[in-house]
Amino acid sequence: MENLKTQLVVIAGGPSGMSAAVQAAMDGAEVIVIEKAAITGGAANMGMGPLGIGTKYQQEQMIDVTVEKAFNMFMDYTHYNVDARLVKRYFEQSAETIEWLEDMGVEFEGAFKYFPQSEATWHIVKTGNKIGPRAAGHMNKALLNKAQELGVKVLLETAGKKILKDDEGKVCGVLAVNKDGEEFTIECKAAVIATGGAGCNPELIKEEIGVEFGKDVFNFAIPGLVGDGLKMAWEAGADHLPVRIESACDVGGGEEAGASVKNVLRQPNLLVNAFGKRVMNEEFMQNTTYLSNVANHQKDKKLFSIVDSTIVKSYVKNGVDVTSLVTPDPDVSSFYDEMDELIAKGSKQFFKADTIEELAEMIGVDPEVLEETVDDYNDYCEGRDEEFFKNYRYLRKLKKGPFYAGTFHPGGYGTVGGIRINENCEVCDKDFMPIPGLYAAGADSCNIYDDSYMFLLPGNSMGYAVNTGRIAGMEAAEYIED
Amino acid sequence: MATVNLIIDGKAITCDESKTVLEAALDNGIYIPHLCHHSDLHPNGGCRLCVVKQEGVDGVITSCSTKVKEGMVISTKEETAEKVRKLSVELMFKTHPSECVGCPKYGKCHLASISQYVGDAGREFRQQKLPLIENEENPLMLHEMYRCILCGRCVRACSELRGVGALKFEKVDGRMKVVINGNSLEEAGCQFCGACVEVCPTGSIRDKVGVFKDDPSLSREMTLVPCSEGCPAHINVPKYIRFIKEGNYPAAAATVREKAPIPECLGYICVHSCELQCKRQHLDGPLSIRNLKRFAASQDDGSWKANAFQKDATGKKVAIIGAGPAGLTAGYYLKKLGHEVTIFEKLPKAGGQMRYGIPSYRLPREVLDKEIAEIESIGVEIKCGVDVKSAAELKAEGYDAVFVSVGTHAGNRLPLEGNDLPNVYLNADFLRSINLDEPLPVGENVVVLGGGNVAIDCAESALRLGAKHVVMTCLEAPDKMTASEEEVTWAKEDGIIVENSRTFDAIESENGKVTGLTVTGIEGLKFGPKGPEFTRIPDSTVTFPADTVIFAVGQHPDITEEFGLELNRGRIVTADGHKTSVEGVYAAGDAVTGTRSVIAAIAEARAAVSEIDIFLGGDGNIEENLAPEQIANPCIGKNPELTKTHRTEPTVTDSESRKTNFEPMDLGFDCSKAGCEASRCLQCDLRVQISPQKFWSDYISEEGGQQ
Amino acid sequence: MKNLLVVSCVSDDIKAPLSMYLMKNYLSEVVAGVEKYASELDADIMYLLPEGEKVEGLNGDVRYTSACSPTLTNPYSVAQVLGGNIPRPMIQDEYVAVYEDKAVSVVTPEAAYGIKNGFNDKFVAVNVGEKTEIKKATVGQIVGEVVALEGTKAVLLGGLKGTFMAPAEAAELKLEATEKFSSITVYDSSECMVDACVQLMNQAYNASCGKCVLCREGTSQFRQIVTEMTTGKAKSGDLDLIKEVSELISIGAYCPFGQNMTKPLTSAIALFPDEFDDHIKRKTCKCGKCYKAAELYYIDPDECQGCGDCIDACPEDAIEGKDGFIHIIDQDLCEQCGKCVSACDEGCIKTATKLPKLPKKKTKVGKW
Repeated sequence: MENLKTQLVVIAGGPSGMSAAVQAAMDGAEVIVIEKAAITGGAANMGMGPLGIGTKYQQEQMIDVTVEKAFNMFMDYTHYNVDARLVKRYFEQSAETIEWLEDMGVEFEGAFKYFPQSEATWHIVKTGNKIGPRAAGHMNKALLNKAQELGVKVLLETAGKKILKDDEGKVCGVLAVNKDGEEFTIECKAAVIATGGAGCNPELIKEEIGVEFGKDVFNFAIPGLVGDGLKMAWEAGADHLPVRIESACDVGGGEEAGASVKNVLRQPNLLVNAFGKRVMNEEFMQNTTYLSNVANHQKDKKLFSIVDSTIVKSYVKNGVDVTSLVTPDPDVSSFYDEMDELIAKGSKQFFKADTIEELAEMIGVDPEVLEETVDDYNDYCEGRDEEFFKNYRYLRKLKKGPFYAGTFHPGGYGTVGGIRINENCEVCDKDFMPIPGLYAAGADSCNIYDDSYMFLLPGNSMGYAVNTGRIAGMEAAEYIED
Repeated sequence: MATVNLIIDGKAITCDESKTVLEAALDNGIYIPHLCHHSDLHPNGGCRLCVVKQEGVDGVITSCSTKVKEGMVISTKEETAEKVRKLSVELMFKTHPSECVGCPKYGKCHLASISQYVGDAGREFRQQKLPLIENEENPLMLHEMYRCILCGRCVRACSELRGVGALKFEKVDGRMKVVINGNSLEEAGCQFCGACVEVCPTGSIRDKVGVFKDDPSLSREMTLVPCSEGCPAHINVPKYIRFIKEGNYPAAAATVREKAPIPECLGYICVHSCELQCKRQHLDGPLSIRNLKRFAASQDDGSWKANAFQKDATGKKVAIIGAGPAGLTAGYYLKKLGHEVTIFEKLPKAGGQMRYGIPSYRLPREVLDKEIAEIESIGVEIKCGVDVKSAAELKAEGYDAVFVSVGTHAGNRLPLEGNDLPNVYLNADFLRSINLDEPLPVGENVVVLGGGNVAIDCAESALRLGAKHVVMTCLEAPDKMTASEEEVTWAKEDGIIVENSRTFDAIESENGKVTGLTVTGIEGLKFGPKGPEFTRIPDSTVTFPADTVIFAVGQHPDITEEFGLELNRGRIVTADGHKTSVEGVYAAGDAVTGTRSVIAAIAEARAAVSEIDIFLGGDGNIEENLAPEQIANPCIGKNPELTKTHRTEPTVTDSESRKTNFEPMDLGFDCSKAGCEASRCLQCDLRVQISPQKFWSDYISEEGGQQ
Repeated sequence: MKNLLVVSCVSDDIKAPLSMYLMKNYLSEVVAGVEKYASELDADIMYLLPEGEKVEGLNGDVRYTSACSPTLTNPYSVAQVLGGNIPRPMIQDEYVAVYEDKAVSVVTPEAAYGIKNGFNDKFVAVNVGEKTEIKKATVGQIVGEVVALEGTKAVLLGGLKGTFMAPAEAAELKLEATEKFSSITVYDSSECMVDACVQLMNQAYNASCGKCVLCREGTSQFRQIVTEMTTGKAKSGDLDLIKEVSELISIGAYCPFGQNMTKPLTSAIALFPDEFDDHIKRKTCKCGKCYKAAELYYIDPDECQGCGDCIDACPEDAIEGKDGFIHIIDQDLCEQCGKCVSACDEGCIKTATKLPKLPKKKTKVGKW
């Protein structure tokens, strides 16, 4: 495979990579994108839309979320443990980015919340007439079309291997491998790393974060995200910041289960830890970041959500209490068949028992303690939840067997962070000096969430990806000119 | 065939009248979504994604099953066609798992790519998901049919392409499903060829993890044909096995000769890493490829010579030091490239380890002589008994290039107490003495240190020289020994005792005569950067009685600094391919890599020859097609015998009659055994013929913004 | 390549079993027609009958199959069935279906009869209630003469591919020679149109050969949506969804069956919009077939003495209350089994379609 020459090489064609490529091409740079998978879009093909603050959708829907309010909320949330300049630039640019996408033909349904306590900053891509899954796939298609229009060359099934630097330490090329395993170099002045973290690399996660796949963390391991970009950046001298799991707790721990079972067990009923004690106000279970943090502080990092037959029957009859835009369908009528299927398969994450005592044995909890917790809980359901002040609407008694339980484990969409960048998305070494010509965007460089993902401003990870992609693209184009 | 003119999306196109509208569009870079259509299969028209509008025809037409006609005006972006497409994608997703996460096909899935291109209108249809059940019955392929969108590609591939028909459609309690055609896999007659996996657009039928290497640096062909990939020289194994099946043995031998000049020797002693990769190991056992190669080579009638290339003389002179497998291969190809070649060999005869390492009961000398003579016959001059002191000096004597392949003829001597006593031999010296017909004397109790093939050669040779009691002891546990399995079994049959997981403490002796070897048991063996690490088992030290001890723990090149080349731990240092520290001097084989295998030496030598040829101004191309063109018939048909015939073992002389002499013991295959074993091949290369399907983004990146 | 003419007697419309009727009653005419057509094509003859059917006096190559599908007038489907596979049509330019290396073409007994006696006669199956009667009519005759339609609610002309019509309009319709419809199904006022559509959609789902997405998934979705209309689970947007999607299916489906299988449902909705609306929005069925009279059980707060006898009688533990307090039935858990009514000596457990105002929290007897 013969070598190529261009001005800017973007490594990986996910939302951040494509945004960088389009922005750089708009600013006049010649760009080549190399993408390991056979289609572009990366993890965003499963997402629904980016964050936007102060957009026209919010004005129409009379939602007052200003950059100032969001910025202060963010800094308090992360107790100022992040790079304020980058966060400010990202939030400030987010509204203009929504228009930037619209010019490319992306349409949005509007600005939405993810769950009641969150702000309406989530701009879901319009696909047809209803809010549908995999919506952001459309944004990726628009990004690719725009890139092509601007003459960006996209090499698919081609993986990046190494950043090449000249003797002055400036980026001068990228070593890549095509789909037939032949290595070739692309000569360039600047490179943007955007490979989307290492969500599917158990070794790296164990080494960096010290948690084990499948034991204490169940990841939405998106095949292909193995941290190529992280290794390339560290090898090229980038400062090695802590890599973190973008935690999003879910029930079932990697075991495939039916949508109705998951939907019912995600409802805010009784949630206990391995000692059979309640652990939180279940109302906040929908903020999966909080739920993950809670789980992380429990024995074996496990939580059990318990419901009884009366709760299930009322859900099946009238639909569930709380729905989210990801699981909009309140109908859970297939709960019973799905649960039988799981029990028949000998599931280790879902349980069914006729009595609380039997259920306790199944989930490895002391029966007396669990029985006591259930009795106390049923008393609270009569009046007020003195333990965690849960809203009376979600106080449903556990009256009659059979009882069902599902196991919650911390999980995550993948990893975030690892490469130090400054507000211009330039990759920086140990003493904060930028490596000339090297930029990073998206999950690889996302250190702004400290230890907990900022779920109160939903659409954040995709917003960060698209916006830092644009910033990296602008700065790289400028760097190339002079 | 006459050509037809039509207009698609405003672009005038002329194409062959046998083409369908879809093919005409795709050939001209216009993408029309399609899922049940596959370029190698009959049109189906089921998925409705490829519908387009034809002017003058109401409604929409199915572009994959409508032939082109003169004057057609087609619009692929017409509103109704787009709506039908969106509806079809949406309906397909209602039975498909909503979560793409955790699906190993993510990033390679055609359904996801189409949903990205066509879009999903989010209508309030009902979820009709299938129960999440995997079917593990097939040892090579995993069926997760809850991801199936019933496009029928797999059913058509199995029946139309392969003529097997192991899959079929069936309504299972009202719902259409793809099921195995019969109540068991065997009855369905699956031939494990993998065509269904290749054509499946979603992740429903997939190769089981571990069947193929998941290495992005391997090309598609290398990944899908594990035996050729496993062989260091990448010999086209399926091709020559197919020739053997057809009884065309000379063509099979010619196929092997395309990559290795000594096929019959390899048939006797190759380390057969191809068998360790053979896909059939997941079924009932790999093919006995080495014995097939040997049988084919023995039937060689030289017909390959007609196709062999021989470039005219280039006037360049190349000297080769060492006539082992690497040296002979280099000499052979350099001569074919037109260079004048002289090989200098220190020992009395050419062959290197093949003659002075490997005993004659494993490799008959007449086979070796025959194949060396074949190499000499094209004009390669071999000068034996010449001990070249320095490569650099030799280069200065007027050679345009020098190739060093001196191998590893010096045994490693472990720093044990008493390691220089008489009757303590090194593997290389001991085996060379036998092959020089002046065998070193062995006592009654022989202990061999080491667990590889060389150690077994030493032990078996000691037995044949009259030793009564032979013990082999090594660090590795039984399953971790580097020797090939069949050799260990034969050794045990001959009464050789193998003591595993031992570390060597000292050689005991009484007034200068060896009496025994003290060893201690170990566990948790790991090979770290600084050599083997293990924990000694307390009070497990024991002494094996011995009057002769043979070190067989590795070998190193028998050269020193004066040889003129930079060395690292005794091995020649090469950089940027096979260049040594001296300009114009190249090196390959065991001398560079340490003792590996004959086939690895040949493969490295071939690479070095290309580099030398380029260095001497040539194009470095030594590829040749010696075998006739082979059209592998993809329609393999139902062969119930396939799963019934198991791995054929060669005929081997029994232990009593073989352990007292050096006569060949493995008598290999005869014609019927070869034919029967060859018919067991799963023909993995057929799958490579199936053309991979393109994604919509492929059509764009070619034109750059065409859409 | 030699030709083969298959007389397909399995391609009937479920509502119009004409083939076997003709084979049994007009065998000689059919055979004569078949032989005439076969000689034109210079083809061998083969008869394909449904499993278990017997026709005396029929000789030559007779095959039986359990497959029955609306696509069995398509040569490729017939070839598939003869080969032991699922019948799936192939509609392609110049696509020749082959069976035992003979080119297959297909004829139905009705067509064969027409070849022999000309296309003036027209056999029509008349379904009234459970009874099916095959009448011999003539082309041009109006439907009203074939069957009396007065006082009926609706008429389905043609089976799974047919359309619902008002009786008056249908009566004036002239019978045509073409295959347009060969069955007339009469629905009287006691029958619920939604329930009729559920049956038709179930039959369409089972008849679909499953090859093309729009028909396979379309019938499956429509079947579930229409069934949900009879259990109160349907959503308000379902009617427009069905209208919009059926139009696309009739354009986009692969074969004639797929394109027309939505017609019964859409024509029924067009004829009886308010009946469908009742089922979805008010969850009631005037004919009483779909929803049982939805009686809800409740304890009359004025009469309840708080004695608690009813609590133990309820198998679902749906009744809550303490001594001296007014008892309450939890409507989510109540299965309307009625066991509690007899358990209450005061007779204060009653039923109603609409619940009166009831206490939410625990209130003492008499405090209401």
